[in-house]
Amino acid sequence: MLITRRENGGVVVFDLEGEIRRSDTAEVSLHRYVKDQLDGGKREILLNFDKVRFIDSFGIGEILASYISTQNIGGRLKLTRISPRLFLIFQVTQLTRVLDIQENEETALASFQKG
Amino acid sequence: MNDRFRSLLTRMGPLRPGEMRQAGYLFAHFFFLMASIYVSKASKTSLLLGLGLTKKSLPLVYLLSAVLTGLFAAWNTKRIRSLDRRAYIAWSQMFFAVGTVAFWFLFGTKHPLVPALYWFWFEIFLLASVTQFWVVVGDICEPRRAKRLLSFFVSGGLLGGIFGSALVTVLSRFFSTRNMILLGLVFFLMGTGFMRASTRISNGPPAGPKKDSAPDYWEGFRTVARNPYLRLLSGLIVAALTASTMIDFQFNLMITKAYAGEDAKRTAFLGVFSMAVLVISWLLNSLLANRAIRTLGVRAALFVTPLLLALGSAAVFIVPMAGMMAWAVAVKGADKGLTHTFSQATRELLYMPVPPELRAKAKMTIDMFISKCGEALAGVLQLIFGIVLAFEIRGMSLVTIAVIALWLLILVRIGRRYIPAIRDNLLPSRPDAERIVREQSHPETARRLLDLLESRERSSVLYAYNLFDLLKAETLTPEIRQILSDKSAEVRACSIDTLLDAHCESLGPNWDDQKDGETLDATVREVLALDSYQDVMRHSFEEISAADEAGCEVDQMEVAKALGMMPADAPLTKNLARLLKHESPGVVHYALESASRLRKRELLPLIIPHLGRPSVHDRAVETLEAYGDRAVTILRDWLADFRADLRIRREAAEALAAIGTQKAADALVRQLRRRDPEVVSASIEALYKIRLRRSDVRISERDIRPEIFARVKAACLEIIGAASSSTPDLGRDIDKTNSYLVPCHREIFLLLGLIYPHEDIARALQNYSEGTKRAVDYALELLENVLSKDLKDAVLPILEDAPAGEKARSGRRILKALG
Repeated sequence: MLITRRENGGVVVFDLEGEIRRSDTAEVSLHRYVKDQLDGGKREILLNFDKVRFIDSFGIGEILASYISTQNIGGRLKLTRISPRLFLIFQVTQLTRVLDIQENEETALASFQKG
Repeated sequence: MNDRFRSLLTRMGPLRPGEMRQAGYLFAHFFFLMASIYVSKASKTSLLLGLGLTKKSLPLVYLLSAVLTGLFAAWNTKRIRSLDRRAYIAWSQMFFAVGTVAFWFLFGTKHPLVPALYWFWFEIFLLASVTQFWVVVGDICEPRRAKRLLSFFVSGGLLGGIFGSALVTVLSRFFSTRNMILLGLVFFLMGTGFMRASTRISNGPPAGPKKDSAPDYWEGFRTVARNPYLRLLSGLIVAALTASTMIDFQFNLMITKAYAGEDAKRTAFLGVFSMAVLVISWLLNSLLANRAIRTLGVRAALFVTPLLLALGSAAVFIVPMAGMMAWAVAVKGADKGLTHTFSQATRELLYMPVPPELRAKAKMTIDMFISKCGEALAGVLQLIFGIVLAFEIRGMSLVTIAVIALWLLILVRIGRRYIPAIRDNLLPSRPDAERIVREQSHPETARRLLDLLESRERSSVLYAYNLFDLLKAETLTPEIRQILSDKSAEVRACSIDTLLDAHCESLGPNWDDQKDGETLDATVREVLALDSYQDVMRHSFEEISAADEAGCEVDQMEVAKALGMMPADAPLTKNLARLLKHESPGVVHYALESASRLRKRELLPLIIPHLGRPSVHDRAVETLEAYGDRAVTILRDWLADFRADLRIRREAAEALAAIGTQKAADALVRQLRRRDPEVVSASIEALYKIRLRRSDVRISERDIRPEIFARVKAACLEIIGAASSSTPDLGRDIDKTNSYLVPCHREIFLLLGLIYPHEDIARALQNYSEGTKRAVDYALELLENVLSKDLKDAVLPILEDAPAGEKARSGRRILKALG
C-alpha cells in the first residue's frame, strides 16, 4: 500500500494506492498516518480510495480506527472514491450510518466547508 | 327371524346387531352341508371298506382318488370358465345333486367299481362344497369379523355333522347304506337354499366380474407360485393333509380288519365314531378353540394340532398290540377333532391377510388341487414304506411323525411371514409430512427466499444480507443458484446506485479479484467482529434498538440481522435482548434468526414467549431447535409451569420435539408422567415426532406402559359411563363420548408407537383412522400380532368396533384386570 499526503484547502488528503490487506502491511499504517496528523493539530482528513485495488477487513479496521481517533478529538474524517464493493460492505455492516462517504474530492471538500 | 332364534344365535356366537340374519343363514347352510357330508361320508367309507381292501390295495385307492379328483377338477374348470362365481356355485350344486341320485342308481348294480368311483366323487363334492362355503364367507366378511364369527360357523358345521352322524347311527339299522346317500342329498339341498339366501342379502363385494370370477386353476397355480406366502400356505396344507391321510389309512386298515363282512355294523360304528368325534369337536370349539385362538394368536394356535398328532403317533411305541384298535381310533379322533376346530379355523384365518383378488384365485386351486397333492403324497409314502419297504404300523407312525415335523417346520416359516402379509394389506403409511417438508422442500431455503423477496422492497441492506444468506444454502438447485448469483453480482456492482442514485462507474474502481459472495460474506463478518467496529457502532445500534417510533422498524430489522453475524461475545450483541422484546413481528423475526446463530443462554427467556405468537412461532421453534440441548431445561420448566400461558406450554412440547435429542425426549417423558391434562396430548405428539425422526432416541417401555394403561382406563370409564347414561339426548351423548374417545384412541396408538416399531403402529393408526371396516380390521389384526398379551387384552377391546353394551362389558373387565 502506498500513502501519499497532500493538503487541499486546509483539509489533509491521503491518496491511497494498491492493496490494503493484513498480509501486506506497510511500515507505517494508515491509522498511524492519521494519528500523526491529528497530533499535529489537523482536524479535517479525507481518505481518497481512487487507486485502491483491494481492501480487506484489516483495511476497514484501519479506517474505523482512524475514524474513532478523529472523532475523539472533535475532528472530521471523510472517505471518497470508494469502490462499489467497499460501499456494499459499509452498507451491509451499516457503517454508512456513521461514516461520511463522498462521491469525489470536490464534493468532499465542499462538505468540509459546509461544516 | 324370530326373537327366540335370534337369542339362540346370540348365545352361540358373538353376533352383533345387523349381522344376525346373514350369519344365521350361513350357520344354517354349514349345518345342513355338514349333516349331508357326514351322512354320505359314513356310507362312502363303509361301502368302500366293504370291498375288502387290504394294506396293499388301500394306498392305491388313496392315490387313485387323489389323481382322479385332480383330473376331474381340471376338466370341470374348462366347463365352468365362462360362468361367474355365483353361477359356478349354482351349477356345481346342481351337479352334485344329480350325481348323488345317479350314484344311488349305480349302487343298485352292485358293481365293485361303484364304491371306488363314489369315493372319489365324494372327495370332489366334499372339497368343492366346503371350499365354496369358505369362499362365500371370505367374500362377505372382513378378516376380523370372519375371525369373530368363525367359531360360530364351525359350530354350525359341527352340529350339522353330529346331527348327520347321529342319524346314520340310528337309521343304519333300518335303512341300507345305499339309501343313506339320498338322505344326505336332502340335507344338501336344504343347505343350498340357505346359501342362496345369505348371498342374496350380502352387502359384501359382488360375485366378481363375469370373466375373472370363474376359477381359473392355472392362474391359481401361477398366483401361488409367485407369492411366497401362498407357497408356504400350500406347503402347510400338503403336509397337514399328508399326515391326516396317513392317520386315516391306519384307521381304515384297523376298521377293515375289525368289521370284515359286516356292512351294517361297520356303518353304525363309523356313524358313532363320527358323532363322538364331532361332539368332542363341538365342545372343544365352543369352550376352548375360540378362546385359545384369541389367547394364543393365530400363529401359535396352528401348532396345537401337529404337536398333539405327533404325540399321538409317537404313542404307538408304548401301546400293546391288543390296544392298537383303540390307539388308531384315538389318533384318528384327535386328528378329526382338531381338524374341525383348531386346524380348519386357523388355516382359514391364514388366508385372511391374502388380498381378496389373490385369495379368490389361489384358494380354489389350493383346496382343489394342491390339497390333493397331500393325499397323493400320502398314497406314495404308503406304497413306498408300507408295500415296498414293508413297514409295519409302528414304522408307518415314524413316517407320519416325519411328515408332521415338516408341517411344524413350515408353520415356523409361515408364522414369520404372517405379520408382513398383514402389513401388505394395510394402506401404505403416510410419510411424516413434516420430515418430508424438512428434507425435500427445504423450508429454511424457502423461508430465506421469501425473506429475500420481502426485503427487496424494504431495505437494500436486508436484501443484500438475505441474498448472501441464501447463496450459502446448500439446498439450492443449480438454476436458482445461478439466478441468485447474478442478482448478487448486481447487488455488489450497483449497491451504491441504490443509495446514492448515481452510476457505479463514477464512484470508484472495481476490484477485479473479488467476485464471489463467499469472500464478501467473510469480509463482512470480519468487519463486524472488529473491536473498532463494535466501538464505532455502539451508539448507533443502541439508539436504533431503543427507538420505539414506527419509522425505525426497518433500521431495527437491519440491526437485528447484523447482530446475528457477529461473534456471540461481541459487545453489540447485547442489543439483541431489546430487539427480541420488540412488538413488530418483522423485527422479532430477524432478532430470532440472530439469536439462533448466537445461541446465548440469557436470550432463552426472551425467545420462549414468542412460541405463543402465531406470526413468529415457527421462527421461535427453529431458534430453539438451533439451541439444541441448551434449551431443554428451560423448555421443560415452561412445559411444567401450570401458571404459564397454555399456548406457550403446548408449543414448548413442539419445540422439544424439534430439538429431538435424548435429553428432549427425557424431558417430555418426565412431563408425561406428571399426567398434567393440559399438556399431556402435546407431550405425546412431541414424543411420537421424536420417535419418527430419531431411531437412536431411547424411550423406556417402563415409562410408557403405565401411560397407555392410564388412557385405557380413562377410555373404559367413558365407555361405561356412556353405556349406562340415561340422558334422553342420545345423539349429543354419543358425540360427547366420541369427542373424548377419538383423541384418546389416537394417544394410545402414539404411545404404542413409542415402544413398538413405529412403522407398524403408524400404519395401524392410519388404517384405523381411515374408518372403513376393512382398514380397521387389518389395523387391529396387525396390533393383535404385534402387541404383548397384556397390552393386547387392554387395548384391542377399546379400539374394536362393537355394540355399546359389549364394549362396556369389556371396559369393566379391563378395569378389573388393571386394578
